[in-house]
Amino acid sequence: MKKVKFRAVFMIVLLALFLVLILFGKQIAPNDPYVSNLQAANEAPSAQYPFGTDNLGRCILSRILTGAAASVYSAIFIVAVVFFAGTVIGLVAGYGGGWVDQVLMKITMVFQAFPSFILAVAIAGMLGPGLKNAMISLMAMYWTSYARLARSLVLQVKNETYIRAAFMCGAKKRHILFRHILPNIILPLMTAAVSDISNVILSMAGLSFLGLGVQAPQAEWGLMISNGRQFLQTAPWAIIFPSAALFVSVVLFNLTGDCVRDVLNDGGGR
Amino acid sequence: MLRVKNLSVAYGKIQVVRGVGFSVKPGQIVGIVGESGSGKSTMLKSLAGLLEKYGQVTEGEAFYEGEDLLKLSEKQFRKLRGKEIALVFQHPELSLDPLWKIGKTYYESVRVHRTLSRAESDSEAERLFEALHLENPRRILESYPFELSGGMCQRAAIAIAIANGPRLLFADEPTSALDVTIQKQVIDTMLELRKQFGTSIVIVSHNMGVIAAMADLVGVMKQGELVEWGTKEQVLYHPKHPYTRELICAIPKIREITPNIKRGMASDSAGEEGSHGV
Repeated sequence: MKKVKFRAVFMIVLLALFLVLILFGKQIAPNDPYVSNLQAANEAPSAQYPFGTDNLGRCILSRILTGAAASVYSAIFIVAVVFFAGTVIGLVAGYGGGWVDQVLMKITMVFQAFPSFILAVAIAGMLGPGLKNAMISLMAMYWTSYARLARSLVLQVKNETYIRAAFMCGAKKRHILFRHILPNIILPLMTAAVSDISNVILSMAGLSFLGLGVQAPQAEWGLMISNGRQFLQTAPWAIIFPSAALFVSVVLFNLTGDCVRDVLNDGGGR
Repeated sequence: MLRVKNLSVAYGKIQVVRGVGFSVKPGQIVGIVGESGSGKSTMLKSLAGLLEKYGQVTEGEAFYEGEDLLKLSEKQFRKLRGKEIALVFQHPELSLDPLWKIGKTYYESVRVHRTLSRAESDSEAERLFEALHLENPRRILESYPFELSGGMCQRAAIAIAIANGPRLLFADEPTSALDVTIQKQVIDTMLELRKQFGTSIVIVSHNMGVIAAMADLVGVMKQGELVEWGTKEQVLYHPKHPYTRELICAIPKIREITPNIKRGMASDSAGEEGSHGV
């Protein structure tokens, strides 16, 4: 128990450091991420350019640090929105029952009928490229799992005796829903959200890689990987370092999610 | 104060309660006995408006203070719940929100019908717990349900159910999940309730002993029908219906099993010695 908690605290501290690092990414960056220097194009890592330069001679380290916000913070924002919206929809569907439930769940099913990333690509393609539209398409892709999870959790909890006891006290439905049911199902939803952040980071990078997300010249990891692809043999650093950044952030969020889940499964710290 | 007439409840096409009728006067305790599946719990749930999706009242009336409970709108019924009519459930640990301390659960149920501060609610709860002879009320209010014993949970749940001063309390197998010594405490709590507040109680149980200890009037249910109805003395000592006689005869007698227990103890100790040898 102690070990599990210690590990979770350690991961959360590590993740917090990481988030602070990328928050000040722009300030830390050793070079201007947008100044191109064609004489220094595709240069190997050196003292001046620790991660080398890309085909336009821009500092890769600086671009990774600057682009982190677009990749990581947009993912956190997306998860926050779908967590909130999906939970509310699931609560209403699960507790309301009847035709409300039917309608909401049919809508969810329509969204889930397509392979999820294809759906995101289609929506992003329809709305046109750009960070905002990419975020909208990813929200459309991710909200369904929260709605379904929240609904099934509500169905589990709503027939518990203490819910009926509250009902027998004359409590209003809204009161029961938000004071009794929500607190009893919020923890599994939160663990799902924390471990979903890494998926969203990857999907975001995927959209940018396909040219549907963040647009050049703005720095973003997926876009950088996409640019570096042509120079894989002559300048592998242009693809290796953004990928490594992606890898590190995904692993960080995944491990933290796992640790948080372990702590909660141990009895919610009670 | 409660008069049930010709009440019938069905789950789909299956009739579970058939034409049950009885009445409860202020301060009376009515016990309904019957075996599992006799429809007694369903009958109680239908009166409290707690029937699940598939159950529905097909016929009958249930007048509480002149109002037919079965015809009330959801909104009207909600105002009665807790304030006029309350219900105690079978599983005490499950009927309290696991995330809330008892004090908070009490506060939340009181707040439904009245406006008062948390501190006022706490001191009121303390007084009520004391009146019902619960030891150490302060500690109970500060505890989560999982920190209390089953009996303590049930007595706290009863106190919470009557927090808004209902005049009618339904109790659905309130002692069945508890062991025998604890059952006595819960029964005493309910008797105390009637003595101090004049609450009428309808208690449903398969346990003849509990009914005998509490009820003034006893009804016997079999396959959804109320086959016998009368005062406790009439029903328990001069049962008319053969089924009631069967039920009473089915109460296990300690005297009959004592020799078996003694024999069992002897063979147990013999077995132990044997295992030591191995």
